[in-house]
Amino acid sequence: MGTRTEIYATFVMTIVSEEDMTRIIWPSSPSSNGWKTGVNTLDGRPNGNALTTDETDGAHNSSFHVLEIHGPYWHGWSQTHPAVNGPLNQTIFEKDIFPPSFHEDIQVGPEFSNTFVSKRVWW
Amino acid sequence: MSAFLDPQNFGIHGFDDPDVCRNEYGNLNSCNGTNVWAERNYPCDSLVKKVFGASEDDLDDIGVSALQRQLYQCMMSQALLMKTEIERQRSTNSFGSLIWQLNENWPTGGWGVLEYGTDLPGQVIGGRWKPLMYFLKQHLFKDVIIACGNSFLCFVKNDGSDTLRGYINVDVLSYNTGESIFSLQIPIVIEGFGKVGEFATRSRLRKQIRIHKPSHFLNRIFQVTP
Repeated sequence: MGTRTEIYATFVMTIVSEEDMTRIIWPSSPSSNGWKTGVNTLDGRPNGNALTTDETDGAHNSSFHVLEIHGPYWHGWSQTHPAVNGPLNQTIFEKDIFPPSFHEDIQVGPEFSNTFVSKRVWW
Repeated sequence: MSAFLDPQNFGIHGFDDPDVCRNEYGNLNSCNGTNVWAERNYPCDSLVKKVFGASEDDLDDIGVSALQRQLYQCMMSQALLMKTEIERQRSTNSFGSLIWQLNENWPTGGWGVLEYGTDLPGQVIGGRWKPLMYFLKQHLFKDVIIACGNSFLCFVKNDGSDTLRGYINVDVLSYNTGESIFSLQIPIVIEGFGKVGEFATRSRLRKQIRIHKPSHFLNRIFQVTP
């Protein structure tokens, strides 16, 4: 709120939520902060209140929890025969990623902070 | 693809000189030359090398069988690498994962899960599933996921709403022969809504490894089923 994109909250998504309150709505892609008011925090559906966004700057707040991220952006690459949209250099595939590494000390469950990974792409 | 491609280009490098590609806005967006394979999105070389250990000569091969091998390895590499990443992510406290985009006509080092969608012979209207799409349906995007990773660490996660009661069957297979080396059956009771359990199979697997021949496990494949 208070930014030049607040029209998406005050007008665009407000109209969307008024038309269909059964749909989950989200302020941007990605949105680090999500909605401040206007949705049920359990499922993200509109609750009839005014839609407002949280403008906390996570980059300068170590305790800030990011709600949504994009990526990882992995690119297929050729040393000898490049193709359109290929990356400039070899990237993730230099790493030893097989098998995956899991962590035993991660707290999981809906009672803990979590992150939505959207736009999981590979380019 | 064979419906469009000249047989002389039946090879993932196209049996042609490489195009000259320039970076205009982040990637190699503009390619100039005669190599028809340069016009697809994203090469697959790095994936095939990573997963199958392919050489430049393997990727230079031409012919029907060479192209079939290269495309199979390309699509399986995409599926296996994505499987690894999604399993890792689902082992964390994440309650959603979305792959964008859905389709990608060419076999590439990209992320699409559907290929061609026309009514030409050999194609399926709406798009034939790539291997990754089968992985998503059978395993990666199921409510209950089980996976094993580094250091014999395994987990099962229940993102469904009901408590899961049952057994996990863990089969350790020989990487070289595919033969079963040993099996474990582990009883589980895991609540729904993102609960995770059985991270501790590692010690049980290590015990089994001491009983059996350790060399069998240097290159290992876990096969787990709920």
